[in-house]
Amino acid sequence: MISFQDVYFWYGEKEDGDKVVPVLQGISCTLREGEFVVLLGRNGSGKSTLAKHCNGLLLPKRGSVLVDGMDTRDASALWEIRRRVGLVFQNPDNQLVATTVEEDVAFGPENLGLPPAEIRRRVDEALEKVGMIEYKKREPHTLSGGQKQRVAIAGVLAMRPKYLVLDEATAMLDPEGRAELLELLQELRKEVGILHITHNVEEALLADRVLIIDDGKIVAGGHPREVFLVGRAIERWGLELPQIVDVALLLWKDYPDLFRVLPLSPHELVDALCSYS
Amino acid sequence: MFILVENVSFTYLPNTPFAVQALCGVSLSIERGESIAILGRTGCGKSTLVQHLNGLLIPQEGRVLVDGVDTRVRGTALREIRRKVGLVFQYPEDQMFEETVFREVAFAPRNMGVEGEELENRVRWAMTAVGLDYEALKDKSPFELSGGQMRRVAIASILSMKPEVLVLDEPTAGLDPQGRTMLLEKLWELRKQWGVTIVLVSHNVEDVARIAERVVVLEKGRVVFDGPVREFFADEDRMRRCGIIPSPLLQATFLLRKRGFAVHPPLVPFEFYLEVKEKVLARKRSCSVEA
Repeated sequence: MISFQDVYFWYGEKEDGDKVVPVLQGISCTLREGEFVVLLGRNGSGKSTLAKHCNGLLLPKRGSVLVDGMDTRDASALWEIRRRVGLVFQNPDNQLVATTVEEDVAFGPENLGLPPAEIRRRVDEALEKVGMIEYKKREPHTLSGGQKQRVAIAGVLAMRPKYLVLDEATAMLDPEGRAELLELLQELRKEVGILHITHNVEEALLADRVLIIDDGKIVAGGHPREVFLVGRAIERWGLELPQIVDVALLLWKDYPDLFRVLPLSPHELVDALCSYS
Repeated sequence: MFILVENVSFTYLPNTPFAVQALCGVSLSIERGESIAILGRTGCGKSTLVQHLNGLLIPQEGRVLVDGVDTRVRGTALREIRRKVGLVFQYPEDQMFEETVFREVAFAPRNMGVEGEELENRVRWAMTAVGLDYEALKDKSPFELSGGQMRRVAIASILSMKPEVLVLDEPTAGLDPQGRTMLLEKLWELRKQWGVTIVLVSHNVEDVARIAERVVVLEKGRVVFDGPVREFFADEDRMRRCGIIPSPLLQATFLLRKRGFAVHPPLVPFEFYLEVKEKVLARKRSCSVEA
């Protein structure tokens, strides 16, 4: 489990300087193994800062972050923490370093000092998982954005992490690349805990749990069916409702017995409409 | 008509083993005051096409006329074409370099020889048109601003040339919902209030629905659809063939149609809500009353 306990963070040194505004203001939340959590927040809400706390890239100024019980401020635990928590960032062009896809994926395991046969096995396995095995000899710059992000994920998977943190990893992808990546996350959620950070509310519908962050604080959390019941008041956090939820809430007001639970997908909405009498 | 694209073909690296044909006999006309979306999957030729609209690329075959002038002209006439057709690239804020917002927005008109009060008026107008507070922001560094504000500064720095056509390549990419809505509203106002023709390059169906009246779809360098936005949204198979993923609202529409409800493709959730009430729920209620 990754566990944030009352985490405060500000950029810069001074704690009492009047100009320093904390970016994180008392964040407490958890990510369990095998859980798919989507963190929603507008630009500047603190969501990327939170992501960088998950594996000790940033350290809390107050409070603590524990990864399976290890404190990210404990320098001796940092290697193990970073092996367990893989981070994938927004820009697909900034994350691949090697000249071929397979070399890039091998970068992490090589640094772990694993024997060559084991590295080979892990690279193939990771590329297989993200559906990029046929591309293993390709140069990364010849891939599409969605393919690059999948290779970046393979590089993380080759470390056999327990948690995967994606910091706006879909933001720069086209709709097809985005759909590919989301489909992959659906596969991976069975094996690793996923924290997917985005401002695209539609992507939150797939989550086991949605957290909304604004102004450095977690302002809402729960299953998407519960969280989106807040309705258009979600706009006060700089977000908007998923389209289907927006329509469903309008209809629900006029027909109180139309739904038992809030529909999230087009199928759920249409099924409910067609079975209504 | 204002822009005429006539049978244009374009190949990158022609006569080499790496030749890629990006446009293949594309014809298109754009009237003053229209709002058009150019759609298609990555690599379909969208960006190549829009770079032809202001003479950044010159057709290898066919021709492009802007306000009657062939983009093959040089010198003053070409500069005039580039002023009339303002191009906003993807992530335009990456190209900003000035120290203040004012200087950034003033850059192009200043190069055109505009100065003094006229320059200030232009900058003020352009910033206001995209919803930026002139007094509060003009002396700030563009790099201190939020992502949404930076994007709008970049657009203002094109608007300050007073273009007649604004071509925007994925203008909402990377913006959060608020930034996106704000930007789309401002583009809409630009067109309504100032008559600026809007050409939006996008693969985001929701953006297209919110702003465009006409859709041009490219596939492998060819125009495969050119018509009203609602007509394009009515045909699921065609959308998917062109690599366009229907929005959740359209997906729900297509599902209802398959079940026999004649629901019109909506542009925004509220429209769909009204359609569902009228075409699905009211009908059901009357059926069950009869029964």
